[in-house]
Amino acid sequence: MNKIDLGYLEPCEKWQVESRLFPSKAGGKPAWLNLEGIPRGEDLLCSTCGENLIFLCQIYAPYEEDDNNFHRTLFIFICRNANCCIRNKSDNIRIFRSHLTRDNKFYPSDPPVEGPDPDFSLSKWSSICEACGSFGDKKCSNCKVVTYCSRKHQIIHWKENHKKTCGTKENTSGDSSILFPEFEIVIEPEVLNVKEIDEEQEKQKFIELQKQGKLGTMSDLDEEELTKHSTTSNDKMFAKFRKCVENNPEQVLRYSRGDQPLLISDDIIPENIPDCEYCGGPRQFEFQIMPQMLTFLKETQLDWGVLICYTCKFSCTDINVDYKREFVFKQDVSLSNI
Amino acid sequence: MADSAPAGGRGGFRGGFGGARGGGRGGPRGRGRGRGRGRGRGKDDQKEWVPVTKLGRLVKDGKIVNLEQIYLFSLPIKEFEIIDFFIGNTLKDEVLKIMPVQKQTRAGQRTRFKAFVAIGDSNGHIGLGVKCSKEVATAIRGAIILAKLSVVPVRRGYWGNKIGKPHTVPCKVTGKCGSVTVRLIPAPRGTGIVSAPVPKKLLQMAGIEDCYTSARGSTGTLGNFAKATYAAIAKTYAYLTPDLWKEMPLTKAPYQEFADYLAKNHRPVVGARPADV
Repeated sequence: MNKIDLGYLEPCEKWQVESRLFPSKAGGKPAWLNLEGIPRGEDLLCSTCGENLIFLCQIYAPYEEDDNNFHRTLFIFICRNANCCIRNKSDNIRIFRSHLTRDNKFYPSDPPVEGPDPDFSLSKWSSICEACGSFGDKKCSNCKVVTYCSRKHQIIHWKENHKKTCGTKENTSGDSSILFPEFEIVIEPEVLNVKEIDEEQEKQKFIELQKQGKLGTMSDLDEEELTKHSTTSNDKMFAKFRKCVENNPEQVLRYSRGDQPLLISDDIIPENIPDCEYCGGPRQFEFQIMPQMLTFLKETQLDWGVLICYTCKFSCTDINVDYKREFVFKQDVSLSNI
Repeated sequence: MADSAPAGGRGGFRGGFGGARGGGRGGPRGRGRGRGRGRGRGKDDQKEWVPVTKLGRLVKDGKIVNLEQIYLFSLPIKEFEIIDFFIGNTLKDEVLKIMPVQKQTRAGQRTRFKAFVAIGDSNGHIGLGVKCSKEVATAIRGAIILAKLSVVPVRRGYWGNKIGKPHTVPCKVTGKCGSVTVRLIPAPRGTGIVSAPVPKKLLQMAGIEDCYTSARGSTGTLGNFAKATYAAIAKTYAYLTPDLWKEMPLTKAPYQEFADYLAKNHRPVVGARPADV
């Protein structure tokens, strides 16, 4: 079995999650990788309700053997409308993949310096919507500096932030309320405490208990009598999920390219994963988002069990599309008892 | 950072997910977790609960007032920490039985241990769980967790005069599962619980002092007897006794936003018909 990487959310400074540092982050605005072919407003509309999708998280996952994928980031967007959250359907979630070679026109070929850099700004290459961070070229008619992707976002941003600072040189720094709170995702390898169980030792312990008479207050009763009244676990998949997670309860992301995902229910199992629409090659499991992320993002409306993400196995780079769509499978927690 | 770039390595660029571990050829992978919260340190109890289900999140945020609100909507409780949150302090667990179970394998016999644990707070909540495991301690811990997950509320009432504390079921209730029907009948004070040993223990731990019971059907069928007893107990809350006839104003849920979630996901209680008298 492959080694699994876990992602944890850590609070961070704004500059630490800028595009030039190739971050993995959750919430806030997307830190785009390829700064030119950014998904436009039309690509980021929810297919159910037509609202704009909001940035959920991105992870930086390069292919170390492939020069074309020296830089590689996956972006996940989700619709914040709770009505679009249908059980076991992933239409309200979208995932994009972007890649760059080491030599590219946006970033230096040498590693960046870990420190604030006031010169860096995404708007040098594309106009970005101030409210949600996607491509936006509709200017504020008053100051002609700030851009938006749609009228809705312009109205929201005006009320919350821009009204006070339109026309002044001040930077409207606060994040809009439509965005999730911003965090960085840090990587740690998964460590499982697997202990060897000595059967003889356990038998000894049992005999000890027997001598002490501590085998239970109804130990003389038949096993059948007791089993008639007991409850065992019905949702085995969920029990396995809990057992795997309990060593590291704060994990928000599990990464294991090519491996099997950790399912949370067996109501509906991922199968018939569609092939990559750009190169025709197969897709493989890459990572999954855990429900703990909702707790840390303080999200009350949306809900999911696990978001399982499948990406093109070869991470194809040929077609001239900068942000390629990939496949995400949503599993919700089973509604059965226990 | 003055790393000498090894051929084919990332030359000082930080790696991402799925890259080489640690500070090898891939370079450091971003910052480690600050403050080293808990991983590997301290015992399991000290790890804070991070909810995985939506109900868990609502409970942890304090948006659900008490356990009865969850029972009202019959939502599946999948995390035992939810029960702990509300009545954890008052719950007492009792190990009913630990027994070895053996399975024949090619290499001889494999022994595991099965533990039965009943849990109750003598104030209207009761559950019984069973777990099998290779270790005795794990079996007991697992059984306690399952017992907590199976906690049901029990309503108590009076047989005759309403003096002192409620001591018996409020009315005759029956629960049915498969072919098994279990009937609980109010009894006068001092009767004690007249029933088979296991339901007797359960009812005692729930805080019922006197009760007659009657069971019918093939009670040997695994699980049906338990479910029938639980169904009967659950009916104690479903039955509309005369003291509840008075009309009460509808109380609005404190947070309407997730009351919609509760209403959307609730499953109707099976067979909410009045008990036969």
